[in-house]
Amino acid sequence: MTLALRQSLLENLDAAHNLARWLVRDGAAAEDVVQEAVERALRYAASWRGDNPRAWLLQIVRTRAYAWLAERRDKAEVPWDDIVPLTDPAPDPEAALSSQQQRLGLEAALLALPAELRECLVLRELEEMPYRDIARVTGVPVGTVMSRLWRARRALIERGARP
Amino acid sequence: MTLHCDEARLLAQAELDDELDAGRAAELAAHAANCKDCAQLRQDLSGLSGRLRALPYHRAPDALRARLASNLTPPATAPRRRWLGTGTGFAAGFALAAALAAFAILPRGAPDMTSQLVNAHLRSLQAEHLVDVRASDQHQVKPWFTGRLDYAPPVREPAGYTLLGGRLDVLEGRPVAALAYRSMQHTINLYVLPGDRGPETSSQQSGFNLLRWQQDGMTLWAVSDVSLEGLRSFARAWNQTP
Repeated sequence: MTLALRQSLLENLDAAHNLARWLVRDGAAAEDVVQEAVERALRYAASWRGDNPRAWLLQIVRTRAYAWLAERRDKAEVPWDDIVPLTDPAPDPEAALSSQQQRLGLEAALLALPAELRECLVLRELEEMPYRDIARVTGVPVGTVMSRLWRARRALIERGARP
Repeated sequence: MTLHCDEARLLAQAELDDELDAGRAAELAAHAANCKDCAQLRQDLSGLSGRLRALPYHRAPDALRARLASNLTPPATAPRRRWLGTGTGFAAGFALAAALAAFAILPRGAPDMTSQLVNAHLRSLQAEHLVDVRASDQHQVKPWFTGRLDYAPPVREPAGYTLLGGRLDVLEGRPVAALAYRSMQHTINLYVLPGDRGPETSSQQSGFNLLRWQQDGMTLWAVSDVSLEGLRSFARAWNQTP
């Protein structure tokens, strides 16, 4: 059982790091979160039901990431919007269409979404997880996943459409 | 009943996420044909999805991978799994790891095929690891093997036998297809290997019956606690199933 678990943890390290990185928005912290999560996964191997190791690991990563965020929030409240300015990249419409700037704009907009919405989009669009698995990782019903995805997408679409 | 835009929006999202059944998809298409807003929304959603997928995917850095590898690499007692390609899915890893773990405790020297088959059969029953892919019908099981094996095992559901699903097992040091069937209260494991191994033979070990036969260039090996006559009926039914 542990052999199988170790193997699948290794296979899902990229997914674990990607989620952690998008949640904590900091390279070093993401690595710490993944390391802690893997250590926990091994310690609590008995609670793994033997199915869907990716969802199980990501669930632990998510919990660790939220713990890290909560700890930091206690120390210093720094809203993300203050770190990355979300103003439009350029007043000139032609320049604004440059795809590089569009990409940076979208990345910043995704990073600025509330974590609960951001994680749903990351799991869906970057990990291509089905609703059921996203619900398992985030610990909410499938209906809530759908509504969070909808709110996240609407926010990003509206932002993109803004003049 | 006509669809309202509120509902159509959620359907448009579910369609994008590949979570919409054909009937609802048709309703949505009919609605979007007459509703400019919802047609536009479908485009917006798909455009956004494309742009999101182009965002950076943060792979685990090599340094982190190296740090964790010592925690995660099993002791080097098991044979190296060189043929375990990177594309092999988790389920394959699970089956192989389970199989290799069992190999590690076997006595030195390769056990004969009968022992290997009986061990594999026992393992599948004890470890609650009968199937990696559950079958609602055989059309789900066959494609699952694609890319996990270097041959395409035939998957059939003979009348009177319920196909539970398929999994990978290791025999003679190579991954092979195993199909699990239920008949009355009994489980039959059918191992499908490429190549001919001669005419039908049967054997018995530890209270289990084994029957080997061949068809269409494949060797089929059934293992179960059903009687030998029962296995022969199974083989006949299998051969007659298209």
